[in-house]
Amino acid sequence: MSKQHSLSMEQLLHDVIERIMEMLPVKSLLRFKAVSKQWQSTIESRFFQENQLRQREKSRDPDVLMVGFGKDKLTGIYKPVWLYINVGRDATICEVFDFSTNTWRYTTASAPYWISYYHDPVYVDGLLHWFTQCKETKVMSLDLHTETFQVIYKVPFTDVDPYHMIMCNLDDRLCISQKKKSKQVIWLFSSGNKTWDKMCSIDLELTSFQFGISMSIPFLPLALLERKKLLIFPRYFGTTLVIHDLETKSYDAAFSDAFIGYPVCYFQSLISIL
Amino acid sequence: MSKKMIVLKSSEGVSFVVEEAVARQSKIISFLVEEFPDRELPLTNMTSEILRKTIEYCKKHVVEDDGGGDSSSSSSGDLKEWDVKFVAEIDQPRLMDLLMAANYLDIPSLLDVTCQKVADTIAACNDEKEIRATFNIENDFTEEEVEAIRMENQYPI
Repeated sequence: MSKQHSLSMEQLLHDVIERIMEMLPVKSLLRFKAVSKQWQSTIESRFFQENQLRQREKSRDPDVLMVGFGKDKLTGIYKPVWLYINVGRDATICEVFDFSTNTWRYTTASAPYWISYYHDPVYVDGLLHWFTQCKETKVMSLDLHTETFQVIYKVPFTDVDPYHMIMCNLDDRLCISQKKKSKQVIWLFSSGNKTWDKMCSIDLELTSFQFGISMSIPFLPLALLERKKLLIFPRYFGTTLVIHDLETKSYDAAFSDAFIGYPVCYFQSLISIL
Repeated sequence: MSKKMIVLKSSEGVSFVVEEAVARQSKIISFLVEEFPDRELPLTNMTSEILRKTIEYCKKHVVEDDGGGDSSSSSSGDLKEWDVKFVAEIDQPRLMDLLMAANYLDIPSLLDVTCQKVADTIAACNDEKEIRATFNIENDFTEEEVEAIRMENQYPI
């Protein structure tokens, strides 16, 4: 670091360069592979790609894509899973797709409950979750590493109508929600002490008045922004993305269009699932 | 209670007297003052200008502990704003020097803000040529190789 010539990028230590690159959006990274061979090999390395995704997730600022799948936590392999009810055998059958052989195979463990076919499975932290279909609705999960069904939690509400129940991944925690009349309560699962923590209650009368969204449709929580703003979207026929400020308890329209489709949140990454 | 001071010496031999708590944000200095108390620390690869800037940053970020808990001198929101202004005022070559200083002295928060500024500069570049020019990077690709990379990344974004 002499006074005469200031530093160039090439003189920076490689780990510092990597640190800077992790902060770049994926679009820039793909484009800037052409800068030099060193940049190219960095951007194409799995080690860098994993770090880049972690950095993105840490930012807690997901992108929203307008449009049951998970990852084995230990091996890092992504696994599509298919669960279906075989009425003849009175059992829920589970198949897992194996990328190494490109085939579907049955899991050895069978699911202890029928699953509710109204809902898609939700991935959180190595586990896929389903609502069960029985007298007392529970949450059943499949460990994608051991491929066994495990932990079953009772939901914190009774009197369940599947159309008014929501399950999703919010801020990397399992989130369930129930709409009852003009209120929709949202709970987050605390894996530490195995309890449901009530996060907030959405006033559907207010959202119906403000945005003209039908009170009979529950909201799907999409993301927690800056830890205090909840991004929500009507579960059916949605045309408005709504931001609910948890502190001021106010509602704002984030985006509105006649055809939004089905929005999902994601973090940009260079990693290919195959 | 008087505050303990330490002396940091730049590459030009200029001495800077700094409160120990301020300097200890550098993990390296923190280690050195424990190993060699009462000695001035020569930072032979840092110019006075960069050392002054680094100290300015550390002074702003020191958590004042007057026995009354963790009362930081500024709120985190103000601090963030101050950081943004701090790096915005530095030109590109000096920013790189400061980044290297943060890396060398091991000051994680300063390394973060300087890296973020450099990342923003890179992201604002229109193409790889602009990046090479801005950061003095030699192009070791042939025309065909660059074209191949460009082709493989044609996304309809």
